[in-house]
Amino acid sequence: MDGPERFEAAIAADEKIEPGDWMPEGYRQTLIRQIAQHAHSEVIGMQPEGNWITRAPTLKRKAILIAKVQDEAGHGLYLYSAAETLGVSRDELVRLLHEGKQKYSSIFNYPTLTWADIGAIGWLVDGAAITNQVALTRTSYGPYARAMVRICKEESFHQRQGYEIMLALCRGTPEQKAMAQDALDRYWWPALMMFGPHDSESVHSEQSMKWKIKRVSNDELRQQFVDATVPQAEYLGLTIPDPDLKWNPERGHYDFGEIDWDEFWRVVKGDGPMNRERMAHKLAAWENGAWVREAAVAYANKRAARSA
Amino acid sequence: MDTLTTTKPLATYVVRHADDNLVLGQRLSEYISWAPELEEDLAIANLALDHIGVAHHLYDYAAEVEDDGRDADGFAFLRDERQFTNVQLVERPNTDFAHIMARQFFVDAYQVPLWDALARSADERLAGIAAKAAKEARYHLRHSRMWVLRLGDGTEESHRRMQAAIDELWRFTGELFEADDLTDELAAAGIGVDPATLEAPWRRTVLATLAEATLDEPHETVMRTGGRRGLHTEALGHLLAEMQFLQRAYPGLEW
Amino acid sequence: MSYSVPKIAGEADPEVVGSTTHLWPRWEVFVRPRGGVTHVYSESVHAPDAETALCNARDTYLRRVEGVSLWVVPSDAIARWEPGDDRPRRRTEGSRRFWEAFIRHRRGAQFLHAATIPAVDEFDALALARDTFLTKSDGVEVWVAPSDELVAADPDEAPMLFEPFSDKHYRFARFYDIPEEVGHM
Repeated sequence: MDGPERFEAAIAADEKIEPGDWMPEGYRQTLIRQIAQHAHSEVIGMQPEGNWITRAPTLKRKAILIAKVQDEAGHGLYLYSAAETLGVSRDELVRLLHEGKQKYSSIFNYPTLTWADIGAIGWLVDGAAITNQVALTRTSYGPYARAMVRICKEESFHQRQGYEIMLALCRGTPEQKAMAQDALDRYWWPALMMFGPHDSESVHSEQSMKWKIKRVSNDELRQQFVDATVPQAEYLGLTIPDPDLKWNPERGHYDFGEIDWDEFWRVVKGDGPMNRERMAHKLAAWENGAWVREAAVAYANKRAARSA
Repeated sequence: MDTLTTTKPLATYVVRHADDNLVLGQRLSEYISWAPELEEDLAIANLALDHIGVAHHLYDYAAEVEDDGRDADGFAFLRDERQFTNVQLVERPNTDFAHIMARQFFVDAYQVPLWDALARSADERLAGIAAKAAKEARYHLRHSRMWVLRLGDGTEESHRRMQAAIDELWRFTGELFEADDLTDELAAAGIGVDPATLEAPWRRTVLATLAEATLDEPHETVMRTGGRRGLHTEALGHLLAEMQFLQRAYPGLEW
Repeated sequence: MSYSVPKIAGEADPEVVGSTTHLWPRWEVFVRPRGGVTHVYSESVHAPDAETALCNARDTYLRRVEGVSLWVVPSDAIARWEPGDDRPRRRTEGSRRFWEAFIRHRRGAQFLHAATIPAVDEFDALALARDTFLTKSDGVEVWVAPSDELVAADPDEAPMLFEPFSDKHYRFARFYDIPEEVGHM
């Protein structure tokens, strides 16, 4: 078999494509784009939760939140590592992010205004992300699939810690419960938006499904998430901010209202509440660190020269 | 004003070390997502978690010794600036990466012999916490020393910044080795360590590293003091105001 | 987490030219898990030198007490073989040195350390590793690296490298108390 035949055969047999294998240029480009943007999302995702590390209410919550934000750095790192096997460096991908040529998930362009937002992010945002990522552990590219398996394993605590925060708030004072409801009100719709446009509107879904990069469609994943989350909100005694939400016994699923797609595209295109702040933070950290990165290289070079 | 941490000497002693670790952990945690590379963000988060973890263990123990209903979070979130007994060094701000690593290096070079000595404490609980902390501190020292060397002997700019950080923080290091009635009493009982005995190993580590890093030993000789008595730099109040916000704004709730 | 970013209609993707330069070189990380007999490939880190690479690998890949031994190898020092590549040939002349051989036994699997082998050069090492450790039906990739390029964490330092993670129970799902009624989470 030649390269293209072997590629098609591996995809058909549900085998993984490995870095040394021949692959269509479109497959490679699609993967670079998807893995890089996934990695960027993890790294930018450190900011909204990082915003509450210094104000976490107990020593236990502080440690948990640090560990979670650290995981996000780690997961960004694993994903950049996987992207590099496609022949592009992390420095190059970071440059594309900094220049605004590659994006990150819009969910991180919303602000974290109260402690309850940390609970809501763990419960809803991680919940939405997990729905998507479990499907991705079966993606056709080996290094991406393996990174996702590692990430899934590590993240098993992320949603639970968020729900535990929500539980504590909902079992607390009326003031705490109101804080939890407010966070749900602000994060519910952005969480649903995380699954992307309707399948019929999605620019690149079809080819990705054929190559088995993407395994389950946007709308299907969104429905799974709603079905899993509604009972969790009920248990908390919170109200999901959607008047159209109701159980549909015929479909065996919840029906729910339409996403505000104008807001969706506005945030994707850069005009969300925190787009500029997130990028400014990222750029400032990168620029402030330049002298450190260069010093470490200079030191390594001096040492190598001395031992030569 | 009541500046006593607690009425029991052992609890007071344990809280001093807990405060050092909490305040340093809090400072480190401010820096997460601001590090020069992704790998260093992970490293800084590990440092923060180690220090906050040690603080938590020590506060738990102090609460048991004190036995009047206050728990670890009570120590961390419900005391004011004048009741915090950390050394001033750990509250110094994250001016730049050189300051963060210089502060860390000075603390690590002190904590390695500190925890080694306390691991031999006659108090079993304290010895157990110290034995675990000693392993963490050894790695912290590996990491901070690595950066002191790289920044000191890196580029002109990194050398200048590292020297500035060493010079700026030097006057806060004398306090690490100050003895007082409390340390005398606990050292005599075989429970605590005489801080003065930690100075020689600290100087050996620090001076050897500075020399290897092509950095000069600072000339400064006048040392700052007061942290153990609740006298701090102005930086601590802001750190506590931020850290304690929720517990202060909504007293007595579960989170 | 996993995130997808929607594509704006009509917006072109940036051309990813495939620049592989990086200010800090890439190091491949291998971890021997608890109870494991061999080192398993564990992705990569970037670092300016070997000492920093070991620290970065430790801080990145061992946060859940995953390992008891740690190696890093500069990515540039690794020679690679996959089926169809006919460059590797055994050589008999020339002085030999030691190489570390790593095998991906099947698609989707992770590289495992196979052995330390003597060989004249990278092609000799690849050929020897391929012929020794692969059967025709399995094995999709071979890596070799000169043994002296591999940097291993000092076993005496295991307590400070690996044990500090052992009491961070909050990194695991079982630490959290979630009522069964709310479903799997």
